[in-house]
This record gives sequence, structure tokens and C-alpha cells, in this order.
Amino acid sequence: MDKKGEGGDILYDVIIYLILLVIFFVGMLYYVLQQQGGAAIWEEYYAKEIVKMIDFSRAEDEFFFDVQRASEIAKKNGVLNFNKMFSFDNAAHEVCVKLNVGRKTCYSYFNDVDIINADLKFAEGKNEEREDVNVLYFKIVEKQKKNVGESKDEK
Amino acid sequence: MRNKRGDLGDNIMIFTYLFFMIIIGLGIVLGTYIFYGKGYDFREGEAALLNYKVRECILKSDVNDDFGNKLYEVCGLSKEVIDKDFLLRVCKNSKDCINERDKEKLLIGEGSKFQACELEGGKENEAFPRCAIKSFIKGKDKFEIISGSKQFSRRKL
Repeated sequence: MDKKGEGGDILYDVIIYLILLVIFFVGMLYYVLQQQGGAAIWEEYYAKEIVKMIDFSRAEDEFFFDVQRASEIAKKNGVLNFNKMFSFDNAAHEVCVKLNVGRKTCYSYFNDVDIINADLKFAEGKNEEREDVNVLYFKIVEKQKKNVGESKDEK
Repeated sequence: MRNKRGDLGDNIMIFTYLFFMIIIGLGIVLGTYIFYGKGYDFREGEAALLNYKVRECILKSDVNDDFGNKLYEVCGLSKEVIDKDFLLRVCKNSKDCINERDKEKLLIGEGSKFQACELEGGKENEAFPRCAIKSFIKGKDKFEIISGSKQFSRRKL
């Protein structure tokens, strides 16, 4: 018989088990939601494709990049602010893509240039089937050695 | 106090509990990995691109004794990014660029573990950098460029 308050010990054990279960469940749920619709994979794909373009580019090059698929994934995953889907950090030479709520995927480019005028243009491009698609516009310029290059251009 | 009722057995259950959690967690992660694949590895292309950029730059520039110090500026490359995520070694008239120590022959040697670029087994190992090795002749000099990428995408808040 429990005469010495052993019920408290059992309750304590159960609480520990429950806390562990909640941590595990939340962690797994977060992971699965991040992977939902392949968002993490597509983030990586778009970040690397944009970095590839930047590394190949020269000053004064301009790009219009079809991001229709990315916009659809972001919309499906509840990303309300489309302007935060693609961000360029000139100071860190980094491109970040966010197609889900929560974290974003970033990748660095080695070309010492700045990205300016980044803008998501809705239904302004055409794909191979001549359908309207969303495009990401950005322009490459020579590295601004002063403070200009350290501003964060987020679009 | 003597433990006559095997209370220790209750506490040991935590290990079983954690074990099952780890197994279930690994199962979910593995399932996701199998479903979506291992992702898009751009390191090989990136290493080749860096190699190409440096090669073009050397062909168009005047390569003097001080070229190694000015390479980033002349070629328009970011030193911070290359230091962090890339390997870059440029040799002039060297017979073994990977192991070259002669400062006159080694124009630039950024990063370490260039030996990993030589290993055949490294191509199968995801953790090894992906490399591009090219040599060419400019005038009377033979140049060799070893570039590698060890960059992985980063997840940030």
C-alpha cells in the first residue's frame, strides 16, 4: 500500500514521460511540416539555381527567373508575404529562399557582386506553354565597396 | 533505505521509452529522405565554375609575382565566401600542385585538405568536397587550378 506518498513519485514519472512525448511530437511535427510538399527541397533547388546564375553573371546582367512553382508551394504552405520568399544579402553574399513558415534555406555565391532591384513580378513572364508565370527579377552590379553593399535587399 | 520492491525497474523504463522514440524519429526522417531524395547537390558544378572563372581571369590578366595577393580583387571573387566554403589552389609551373609548398610556384592556396580531391573513394563520400582540377598553358608557363566546394545549404530562422 502507498502510505508514504509514493503516488507523487508515480505522478512525477508520468509528467517526465509526457514532457518527453510532447517535445518529441512537436519536433517531429515541425520537421514533417517543413518537408510538406517538398518545400525544403524546392527551397534548396531555387537557392542553388539563383546562386548559379549569380556566379555565372557579370555586372549589368539582368535576370528574369521563372518562380511559378515556388509561388505555388509558398501559397500552399501559408506563406502570406510573397516578398519574403527570396532574399539577397549582399554583405554576406547569400541568397535565401523561404517557401514555408519557419525556417529558410540559404546558399552563398562567390562572385563578388551586388544584387539590386530584386522584385517578384506577378504573372509577368511566359513559360514554354505561353502561360503567365510569376518571375523573379534582379540585376547584378559591381560590388559597392561602401555601406550600400551592406544593405539587405529583401524581396 | 533498501529497495525490496524493484523500484529501479520503473526508472529503467525511461531507456526503453527513449529508444522507441529514437527509432520512430529515425523512421520518419528516413521515410522523408527516401520519398524526397537526397536533394540537389551543386558542389561539383560550383567547383567547375570557380575553376573556369579563375582560369579566364589568369588568361586575361598579367600574372606577376604579386598576383596571388590580388587574385580575389582582380578576378572579382569574394574572399570571405571562398575561405569559408571553398578550396582554391593555383600553381605555376608546379609538378605536384596538391602538395606544392614552394611559395614561388604556389600563387594561392586557400583552404586545406586538398588531398581529398585526389581520392577516388572521396567521390562516393558525401562529406568530401567536390573538386575540379584543370591545367593550361599561358605563354611559357603552365598553370594548374584546383578548386573545390564544401558548401551545403544552410537552414536559418
